[in-house]
Amino acid sequence: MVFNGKFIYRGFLIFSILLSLLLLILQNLNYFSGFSISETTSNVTVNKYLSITFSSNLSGGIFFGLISSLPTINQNATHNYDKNFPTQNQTDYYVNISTDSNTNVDLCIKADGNLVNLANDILKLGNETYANSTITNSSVPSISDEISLTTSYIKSGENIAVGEANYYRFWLDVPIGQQSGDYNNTINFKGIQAGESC
Amino acid sequence: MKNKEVKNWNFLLLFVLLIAILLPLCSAGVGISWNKESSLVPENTKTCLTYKVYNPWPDDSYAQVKLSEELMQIISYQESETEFIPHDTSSANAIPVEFCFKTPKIYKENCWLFNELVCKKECKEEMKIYEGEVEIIEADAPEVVEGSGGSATKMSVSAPLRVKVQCVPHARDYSVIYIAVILIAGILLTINLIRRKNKKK
Repeated sequence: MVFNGKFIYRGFLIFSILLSLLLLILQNLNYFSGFSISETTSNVTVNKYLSITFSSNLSGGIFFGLISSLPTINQNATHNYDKNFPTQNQTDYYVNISTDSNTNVDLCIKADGNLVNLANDILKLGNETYANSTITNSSVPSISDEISLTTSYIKSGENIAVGEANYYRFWLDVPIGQQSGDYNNTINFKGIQAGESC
Repeated sequence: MKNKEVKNWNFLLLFVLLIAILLPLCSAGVGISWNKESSLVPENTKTCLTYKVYNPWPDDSYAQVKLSEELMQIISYQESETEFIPHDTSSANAIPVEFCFKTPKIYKENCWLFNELVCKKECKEEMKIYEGEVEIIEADAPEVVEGSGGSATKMSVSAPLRVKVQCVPHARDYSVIYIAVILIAGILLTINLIRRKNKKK
């Protein structure tokens, strides 16, 4: 058998093709064997659930009534003291934690902004305050614990047990010189698993 | 006989009063059920997570599903933004809501050609984590009635979620070079065979 130059040349080309093909398969063996590194792994499987609701007066909104003399300090929201069952003068603003929850709940509160009227006059948010407690009576939640609302969530109730409620009272200051009008904003309440940040 | 009738009326009145007292105590509510707080996903991969919404309260509610800003960067599919949740939907019968994420290509590769070809990945960087929350917001919250000053109220519940983007290291990928060799050698071989055929003629 005679090996001339052309035969060697062709043999080299065929060898190159076969070798490259083999290396290509080896390089992508994971792909051909069906093993994919793009599998998803999750690492927590504990089931948690929580649910909240408002009292009907909190659900209906927080009103401060008609203010006719300025300045007004700590104007009570209309339902701050009007729940009389089982005891007198409790607040009717509260958030209930459902018994169909399996984790204690922290509540967070924020407002979407200043109170604004239709003419775009502003009553600064710092004038709207609240206090909260897991119990209510004629003196709790107390005005001495009042906190100004902000536009970022802050904790307003911590580690509230399943089936319990968090009670609120709201107050509004209206400074002298405030333009007349109906001022509105929105207050958001968020329920989260106890211990998490808002 | 009359006494019995009066007693019945009194009982009925008491019952109605009790209902009237208890009913306004709660409104519609929102609930969230979850069984994953973090997910480890390789980069450039799509993965789906399911959260559940429920409403164990006596009124129907609508809830909006919202992802926090950081998670919005990588979301590729959200089943529905607003969910109707019938009253008395317990956590056991919660309604699933699915989200899908496509993790971006984050980790650097060491490439020989055009920053794209013949690359290897060593995964020396810190793991990228998208940390945020899945929030279920009551969608049918009443607006404050015009002409009455005060604050409307809205409720929501949320669950934390961390999407960890996994870097998968790999050795240098020479596939492009192998393909190039196969193509060049194939072309040269074809030319050689055609010439040989022509010479024989």
